[in-house]
Amino acid sequence: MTLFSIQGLTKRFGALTATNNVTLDIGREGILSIIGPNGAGKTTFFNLLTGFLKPDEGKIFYKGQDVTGKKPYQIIRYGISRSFQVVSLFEEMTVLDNVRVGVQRTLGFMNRMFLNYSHADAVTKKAMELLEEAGMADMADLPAASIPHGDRKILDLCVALTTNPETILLDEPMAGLSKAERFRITQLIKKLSETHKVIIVEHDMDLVFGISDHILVLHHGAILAMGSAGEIAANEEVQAAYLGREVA
Amino acid sequence: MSKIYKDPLFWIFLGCICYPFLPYVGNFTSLGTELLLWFIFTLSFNLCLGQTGLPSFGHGAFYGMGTYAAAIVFLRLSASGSFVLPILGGIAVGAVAAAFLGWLIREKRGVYFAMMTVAFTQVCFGICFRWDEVTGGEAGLSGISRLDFLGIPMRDPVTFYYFCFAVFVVCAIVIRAISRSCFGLSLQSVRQNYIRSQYLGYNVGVYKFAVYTLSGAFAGLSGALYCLLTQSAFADILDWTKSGDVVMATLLGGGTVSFYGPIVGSLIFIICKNLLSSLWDHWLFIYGLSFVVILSLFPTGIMGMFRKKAKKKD
Repeated sequence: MTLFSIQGLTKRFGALTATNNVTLDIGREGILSIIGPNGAGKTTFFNLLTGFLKPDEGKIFYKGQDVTGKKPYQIIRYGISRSFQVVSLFEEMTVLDNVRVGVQRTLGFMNRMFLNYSHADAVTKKAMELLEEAGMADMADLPAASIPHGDRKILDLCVALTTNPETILLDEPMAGLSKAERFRITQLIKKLSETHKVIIVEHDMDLVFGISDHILVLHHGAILAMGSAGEIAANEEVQAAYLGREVA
Repeated sequence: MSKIYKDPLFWIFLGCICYPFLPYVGNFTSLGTELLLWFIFTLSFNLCLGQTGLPSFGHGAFYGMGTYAAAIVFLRLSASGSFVLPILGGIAVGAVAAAFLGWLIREKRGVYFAMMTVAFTQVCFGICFRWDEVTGGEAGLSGISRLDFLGIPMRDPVTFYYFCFAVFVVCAIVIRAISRSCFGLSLQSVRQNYIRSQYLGYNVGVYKFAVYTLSGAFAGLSGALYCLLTQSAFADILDWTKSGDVVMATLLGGGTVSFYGPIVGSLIFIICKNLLSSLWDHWLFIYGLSFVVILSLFPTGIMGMFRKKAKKKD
């Protein structure tokens, strides 16, 4: 079963073609990682999928529905959500309120003008559930700006999950994390993939080859290879373009 | 009921009730009324700036439009002798003007948003200053009087003061309820991180439009009451410096961190403008200097200053 069906996707920035005629089907199962050397167009591809950028050419279908050029707030409603490479939170709010913002929209409370947001019990309950699942319930009342970086990464993920997505795209979930924190996030992503389709852009090869069911390699904005971790590791073209250079 | 004493609004309301009985300033009833109108106006402005992060630096437009609307409604339509009709006119025109501008600039941000609002104010000023037939042009509009409301003679300044006080009470409670509501949290999310807000499904432009319209309605209301207070309408209330005063007062008071910031700021501004100015012609020098000093030491204004102190105590 295909989830994303991408046809001839192209994005140019002036003379640079950041995404070059990408045609690809993404299945519903497992974890897909997108890798490629710096400047390969990973982030652009990611931003096209999540509606942050509009493609110049091509189409994106999600579960058969055309989502090409949809804005972020519309993309969300199809069941697609994303996290951010640089943690993107509501810095002046508490941990709990960060989650509340998303939950109240999903539950339809967002336009209630005369209901004190902390009295919206359904929202609070759902938000606390999400925090508990991520092991952050004890931090609920701390300001988001004050908690450690690893926890902020997890909170970012929690906030992304508030929209009840089926598919979640993670933009460099390991960036700037310590070894212990990496382990924690890896476990979380594995757990997440049992119930969600997970698409990851990541530089951390241990993570990519450790947990991915499929790996997509981009090079100069185009698809260089796609396959299982074993196939990609053995692919000579990939080695030449990417792994070879980095490993050597 | 014992909790009510912990509510700052209670003390603010109490202060307002006592105002006409205060020694010295109590004699200047219209000053007190103007202060109340400033409270409403700056609270409505802060829905944009403090709550949603919209730098609406031309907010005086909606205040001024409210004033003119009230005057025109009174002079042209109020043959029936209604006290309320001009006020409703002010609210409607303030809301419609803000909705019009808000829709046009809902996708704009930062300095572009700010400049568009300032330009809009200038356009309003130009229209009111030139359109002799409707706005009276340079001569403005006069001959407005405060009619009886439900049999109560509003001509008496103290009665009108308490009428404005009642309006302020309602506005303050409503605006605070909104700012603490689910909708208020949605607006907060737009201010703090509009990109993330979009990725949680919020159509940020629509929220900006909605809050702008709402704020314009309250601004129009305070403008209409100002028309009834001065019983006239002149183009100078649409001057862009008036909008600047609102921004300064709100920032000085600490509107970005506290709901009460605009009230504190308005209080200081109006006191300086009316009392300090009678002592020294160059009062703006002192006001401006204290603005610079306070905001450079405490970027979040006076309420931010208190908040920092309270945190240190913990």
